[in-house]
Amino acid sequence: MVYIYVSIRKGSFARAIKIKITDWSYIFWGGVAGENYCESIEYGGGFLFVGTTRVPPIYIITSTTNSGGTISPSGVIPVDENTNKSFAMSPMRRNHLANLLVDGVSVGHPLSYNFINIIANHTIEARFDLALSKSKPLSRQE
Amino acid sequence: MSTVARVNKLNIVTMTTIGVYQSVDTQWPIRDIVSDGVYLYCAFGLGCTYPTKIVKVDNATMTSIASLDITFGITSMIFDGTYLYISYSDGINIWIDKINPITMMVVVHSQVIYPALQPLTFPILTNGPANTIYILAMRPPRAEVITVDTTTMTYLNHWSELEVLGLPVYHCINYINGFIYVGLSHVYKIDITTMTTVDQWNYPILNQWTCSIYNDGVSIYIGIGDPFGWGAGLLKPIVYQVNPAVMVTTGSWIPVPFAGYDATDMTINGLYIC
Repeated sequence: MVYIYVSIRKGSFARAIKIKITDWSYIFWGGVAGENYCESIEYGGGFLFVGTTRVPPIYIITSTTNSGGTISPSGVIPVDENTNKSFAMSPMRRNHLANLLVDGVSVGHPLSYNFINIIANHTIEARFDLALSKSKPLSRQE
Repeated sequence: MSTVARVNKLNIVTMTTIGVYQSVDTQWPIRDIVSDGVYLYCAFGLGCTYPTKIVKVDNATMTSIASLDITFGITSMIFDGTYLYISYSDGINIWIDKINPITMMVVVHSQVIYPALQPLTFPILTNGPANTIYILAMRPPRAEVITVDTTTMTYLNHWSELEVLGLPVYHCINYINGFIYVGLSHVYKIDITTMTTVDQWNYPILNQWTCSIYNDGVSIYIGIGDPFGWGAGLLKPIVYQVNPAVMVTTGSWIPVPFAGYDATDMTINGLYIC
């Protein structure tokens, strides 16, 4: 009986299928999830061998700020999956960090922030503002 | 980065996993696996210009017993019963290494000298008749098939065709009983004595690519890769059955449970001559 064996992939899910060509009936291998590549299938010694490979994705953290201070690192930062990445915010003189937005959500105004175990793209936005000193009058009358 | 490459050993009756070879931090995917019945040879690479390797794996224990470092990313590997042959490219030139699988040493390191202008890229190999191998390589906007004598590792002749879709996502080549079948924007049937196109098979659905061609002695089977989903909807065929004498479709396999999947490679449980 002649069978063909086909490796197939959809997104990051790899499978292999055994097809009986006389009637196109088939059975399949449940496969492996999370595989980026499944480019090779080989019949040999009475067994079937299916090569699969998972290459971890690179995620992007985009850091931005307004003109009142700096964020470091800034710009588009590629990071490996399951790693951590720290950011430091530094207000310019007479400014303070008014708000830190992580993925569009305020996390207060910490001067450092650490992404832990990264498994997705993120944004971090530091918004600086003029610092209002209590010892300094809000306005001055001549 | 912790790239994990696996070779999954399957029971062909139950199609269940009965062993796994796993390599961590290989950097690149498994490009090709060949078997001599006792050992597996796993070539890593993906057309890249970075160093890769071949790993020799014991078929029974699924453990690595030797490896060979290669300068560039391997694009293809075949076994002619005595030697392994691998292809790779630096983006301009292509090379073929002839490897002794027992010692895992390179016997001949050979740049493919070819009459046409460079560059040649994305080379893939297939076994030809006695002492020849064929290389399918891209020289945009053309695709080239180059015959190499494996005793001298020198150029013999070639076939060339305008490739209307540019660089294919998948391309494949297979020699079957006096003809070379090349999967590009069409599947071309090439007479090896004249190295000319004698027939072609057109995809019933436009903008597809062939990942593999095999035969059972009567028909050829064309595996379809369509990574961009340019085919007609999700229920596109993954395998076409074609009569090689007239290059006409005689059957197709449309797997409803596997809608949206693409074929990536194919094999058959024996060697057959059409």
